Amino acid sequence: MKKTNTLLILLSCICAAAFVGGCGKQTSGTSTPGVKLKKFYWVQPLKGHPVHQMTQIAFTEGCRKLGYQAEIIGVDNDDISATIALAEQAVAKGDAAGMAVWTGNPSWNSFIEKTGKKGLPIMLPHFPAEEGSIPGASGVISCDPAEYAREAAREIGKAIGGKGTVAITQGSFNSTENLVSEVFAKTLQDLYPAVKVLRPQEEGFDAPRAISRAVSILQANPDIVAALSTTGNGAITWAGAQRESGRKVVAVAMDYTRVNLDLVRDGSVYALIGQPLWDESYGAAELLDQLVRGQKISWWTKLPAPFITKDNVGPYLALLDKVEAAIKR
Amino acid sequence: MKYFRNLWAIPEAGIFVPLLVFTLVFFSINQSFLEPNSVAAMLRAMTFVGIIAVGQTWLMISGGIDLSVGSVAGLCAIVSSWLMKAQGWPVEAGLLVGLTVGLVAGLLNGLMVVRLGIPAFIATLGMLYVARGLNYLLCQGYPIYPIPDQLKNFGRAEPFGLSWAFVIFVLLVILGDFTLRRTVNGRKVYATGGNKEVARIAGINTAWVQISCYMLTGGLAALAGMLLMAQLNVGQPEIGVGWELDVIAAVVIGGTSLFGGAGTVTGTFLGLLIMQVVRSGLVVTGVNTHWQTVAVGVIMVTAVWVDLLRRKTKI
Repeated sequence: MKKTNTLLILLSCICAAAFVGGCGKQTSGTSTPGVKLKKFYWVQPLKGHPVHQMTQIAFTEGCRKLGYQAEIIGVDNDDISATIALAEQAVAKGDAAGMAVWTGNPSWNSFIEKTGKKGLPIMLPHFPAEEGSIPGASGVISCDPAEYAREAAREIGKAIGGKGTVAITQGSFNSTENLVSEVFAKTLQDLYPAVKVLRPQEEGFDAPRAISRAVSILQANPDIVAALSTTGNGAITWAGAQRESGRKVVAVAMDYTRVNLDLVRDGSVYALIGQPLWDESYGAAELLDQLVRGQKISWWTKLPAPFITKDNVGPYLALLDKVEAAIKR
Repeated sequence: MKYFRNLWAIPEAGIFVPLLVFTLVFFSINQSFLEPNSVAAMLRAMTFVGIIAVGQTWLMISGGIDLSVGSVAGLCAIVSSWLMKAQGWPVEAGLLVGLTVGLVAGLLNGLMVVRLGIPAFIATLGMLYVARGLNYLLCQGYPIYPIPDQLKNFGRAEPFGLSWAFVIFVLLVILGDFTLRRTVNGRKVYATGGNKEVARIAGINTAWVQISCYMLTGGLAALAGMLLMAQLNVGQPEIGVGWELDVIAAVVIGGTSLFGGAGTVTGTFLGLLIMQVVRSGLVVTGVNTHWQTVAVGVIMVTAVWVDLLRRKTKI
């Protein structure tokens, strides 16, 4: 019995030693003086989302080119608290030279403020924010949603000859999509008073349900001539709704995925708004590098969001080839 | 009066009455609600969740529940499209493997619940995460596109102005309802869910009944996922996200007991129809999008309440 107890104690000691050794040295969460940190973190919820994958690859490419190590952290769903917890763990490791946080949600503000105070540069890609509204953040890199909403209104208005009814659908009701819908509706009404703009409807993220909802919108409004979807799935939604209802509308949606580009090429969708996903993510790495080297950057690095029609899908297909090659690597 | 009382005594009447009322209300507000295109779109939209709901009805009647159906549907769609696109497998082989993955997921769920005694809620919740994770591992979060033309053409075909997926769904409803009500195997499912111990003493292999119901649900989840993949012409990693709640809601609204032993596939079909009618009707009638979500919840509870009233009247 005594022998067994001794063995157990010995085994416990070995396990404890292995555990302590495996965990490595504890860090205080701040960088060690004299050690040059070469890692940038990319923090993002829904990390498996195809659009998010593209941004992660762009950021990783940017880091690689600049000689930094990149680490992607995030969860598979859109749980903000779980993502913040992961970001806090990353900061606590003490090896971060900078961090890019993909969020437009104020729940992140206290984390960003706390981390910014420690001297870690934090870039916010994709979601514009007023200067000073997020203490601790170093800057924002994105397109201007209000600007692309205005351009969509101009282009759609032109395509429908300034008359008819226009529908708007959103993936969900969040600050960016709400802003795009509002600016789009206002611009269209200002430029073309004869156009009636319907109130935005939520299409959600389940394709059959989104298509059915879009068909219902078309059925309820026989005079619909165009539709704007403020989400990337909107191209599939409105292409499907046109097919099922036998109606033809000028449909515009977001994001240049391969499926969406093909829908533009075959005429099912009139155009896509090309959010600069690659440039803003790659650019976030470049701006973090500038901050690490002590350079000043402007609060908002504004990028264009081109309107992609049948005539200019080529460069975006080439970009996707590059992304797919990077995934294979 | 007696005639109406007899009509009210039919199990599905409690769901059919609210369905009829909602349809008439929406139609009176906007006549386009019942136009052929609109009806076809509603029927098409409920197809994929509906196919799984047939299996889930069997499973819930047998006393089980499967929360992993949406994730399994997504995984099977991705597995089959990945085999066809990235590995160059023939369409038939890709679909067969996809279906097998669904059956295996169902088998594992069944074994965890029946043999290991893990509560169904936890076992299938675990499978939900495993399947979703494997899905993303395989496709790296990217849609698998394009899928073979053969499958694309099948997905785009419109028999009877609807889709092959809908035709399959209707056949499954008829077959599922008939088998459940009129065959020995169907009665075994009712007996197992009604009182497992009594069923076992009566000589029914209750473990096998439940495991086979899990496999049926897994297989139908795979079928639904692959049919949606064909219709969308892309293996979307998001296929099936959130379906589990819609499936369970339709089955319960359709009158299937959460405790097992009672329910019909026809009831589930009406449950699906009522959910779709409410969702589409609120859009067609121009209800504010935020109120639509509130209304869907209220109307679903009301429909179940009317059904409960019917049962009480019957007693």
